[in-house]
Amino acid sequence: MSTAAFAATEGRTLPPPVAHGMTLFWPTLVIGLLFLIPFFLLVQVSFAHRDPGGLWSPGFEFTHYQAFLQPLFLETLTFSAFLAILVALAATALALPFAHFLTRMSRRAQVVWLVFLLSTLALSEVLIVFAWQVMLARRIGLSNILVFLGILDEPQSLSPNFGALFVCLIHFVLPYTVLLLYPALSRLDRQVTEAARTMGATNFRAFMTVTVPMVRGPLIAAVLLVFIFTIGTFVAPLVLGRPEHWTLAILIQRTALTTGNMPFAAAMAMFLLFTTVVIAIATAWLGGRGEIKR
Amino acid sequence: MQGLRIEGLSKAFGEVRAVDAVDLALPQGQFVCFLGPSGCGKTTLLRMIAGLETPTGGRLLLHGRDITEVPVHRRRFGMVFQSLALFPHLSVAGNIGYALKLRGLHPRDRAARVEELLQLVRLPGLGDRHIDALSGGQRQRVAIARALAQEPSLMLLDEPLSALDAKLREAMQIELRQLQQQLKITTILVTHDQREAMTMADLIVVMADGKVQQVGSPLEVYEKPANRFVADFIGLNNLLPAAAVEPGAVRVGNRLLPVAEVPAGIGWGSAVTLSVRPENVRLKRANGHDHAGLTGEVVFVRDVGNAVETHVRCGESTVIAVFPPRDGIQVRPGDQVDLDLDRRHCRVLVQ
Repeated sequence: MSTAAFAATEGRTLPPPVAHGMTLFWPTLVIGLLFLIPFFLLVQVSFAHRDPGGLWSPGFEFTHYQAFLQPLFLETLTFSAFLAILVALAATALALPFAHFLTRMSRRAQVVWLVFLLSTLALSEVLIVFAWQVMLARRIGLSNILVFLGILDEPQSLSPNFGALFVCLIHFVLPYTVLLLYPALSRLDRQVTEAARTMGATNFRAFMTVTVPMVRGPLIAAVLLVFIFTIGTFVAPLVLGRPEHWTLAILIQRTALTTGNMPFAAAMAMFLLFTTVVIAIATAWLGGRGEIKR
Repeated sequence: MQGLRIEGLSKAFGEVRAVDAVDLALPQGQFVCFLGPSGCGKTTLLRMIAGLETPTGGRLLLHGRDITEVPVHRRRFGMVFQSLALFPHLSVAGNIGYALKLRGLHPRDRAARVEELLQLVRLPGLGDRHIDALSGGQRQRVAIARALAQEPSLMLLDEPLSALDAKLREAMQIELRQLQQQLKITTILVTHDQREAMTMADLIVVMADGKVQQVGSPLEVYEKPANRFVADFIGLNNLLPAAAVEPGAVRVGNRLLPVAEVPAGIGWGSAVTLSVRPENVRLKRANGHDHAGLTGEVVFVRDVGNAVETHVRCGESTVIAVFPPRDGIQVRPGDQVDLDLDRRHCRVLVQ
């Protein structure tokens, strides 16, 4: 899902397309078909008739889209959106000052940090989720350290709950957020904040009134991108959350495989896909518009 | 004392001494230029005065008050940066009014003051413009107006004109100088362009290797360079190896040349440098008679319109003579010429 946004923002820096031959035609066609065929199947199923015996039968009806009005869907959607917005805002709020201080470090320190951040991207969501599950477990987890320090009386399990889910998601998206904000911040002319300082602004004031507005575009792009990452999250709420923390992705999976209502699951998947694409386009547009003008 | 006093100010970056124990007294209301080649420490010195760099030694006194520890945002100095550093997200009025907004000035008073400043830099009514919609010269004026907004006690200019093309730069130099004289605000300009320094300054501070080489009016620095570096750096100059032989003369090659004075404390026979400006070298065709001054062969002539520049090979060294075309002297490379150095303008410098 996030690839759409990356392709849109990265596309401008790619070299011009190969002018001769059809070299790139076949890969494009294969990738296109691999995406398009399942997509059209999904569209078809979302309008099909539910058949309790054989999953679905051909048809064209809007019943599954109308089913969006049922409380379970609305509650799950609200929670998914709430979680995604909260994680997006928190991650950006954490990443912005960090990326800012990163640009102030020595060249060498910056390189070390960037390599470290890039290498953490190699960790998949699944790996991070299970790492947190282990860290929050009763027998070997962090609570043992708290007991050692005398803060807790005896070890206890720190998951599943909302805090565990939230912390794990922040951990997952933070490197992306920092890497998104770093280029814009490092391109800023240092003299601009110095100018603000000579005009009576404290460091904090200069940061808020000059640095932040100047990276407004990339900042909004970062929030939206993290939102896209998080709205489709599946493993983290499943492992670290309680049932009331289940997201739309889990609801889709349950509806399709447990309840066996394939058309409704397809309709929800369509909804999620549509929302993501709209936000991805908005991200690309804002990211491009927010480039620093000189 | 009124004005800015710098006492033993130093800045070391690791082993490198960017500014090395500088002492200066800058009188109130003057236009001062820090002049020197790149890397001489002039920008670091300016940034320490602004409070953007922390000195590793020494003190700064403004009107007798120690301001070394005062943070940059409390010094209330106006500064124009090399990149201008305008805020790209704000309008012209937003830029100029930034300091006033921070000080909590009422929006109505702020708008009035901004318009007043726009009038001053001759950009009336441009407050609503976006920074991107301005020309280079207009941006320059906005940067100057912005620095003046908080009525600074000191105006600091870090090579702000270097990005402009030659013609606009000259015009801005004159305009900036007139503005400074009108407002009588103590101003420091950092530049590597000696012509710019001569145009604008009351006082020039020539710097090299983190140290002050000479402080003086443009004319003093030009006519009486304190040492070989200043003589070489400011303007076109002839620096001839010579030997001090008697109180009123030095020997260059095998010729004895009269000079205004030989500085005290120079041992007779010791090596010195004779400094004489090209316009103080008179040139005439050799007429066969024995000439008391230097003689040589013309190796290069160029006519730059308002002056003719002639390079003459005299033994080991080349002497440059500059004279106006109306003097009617016709020489070509290969001609033998006699040179007379105006003794009143011959300066003897210790090597």
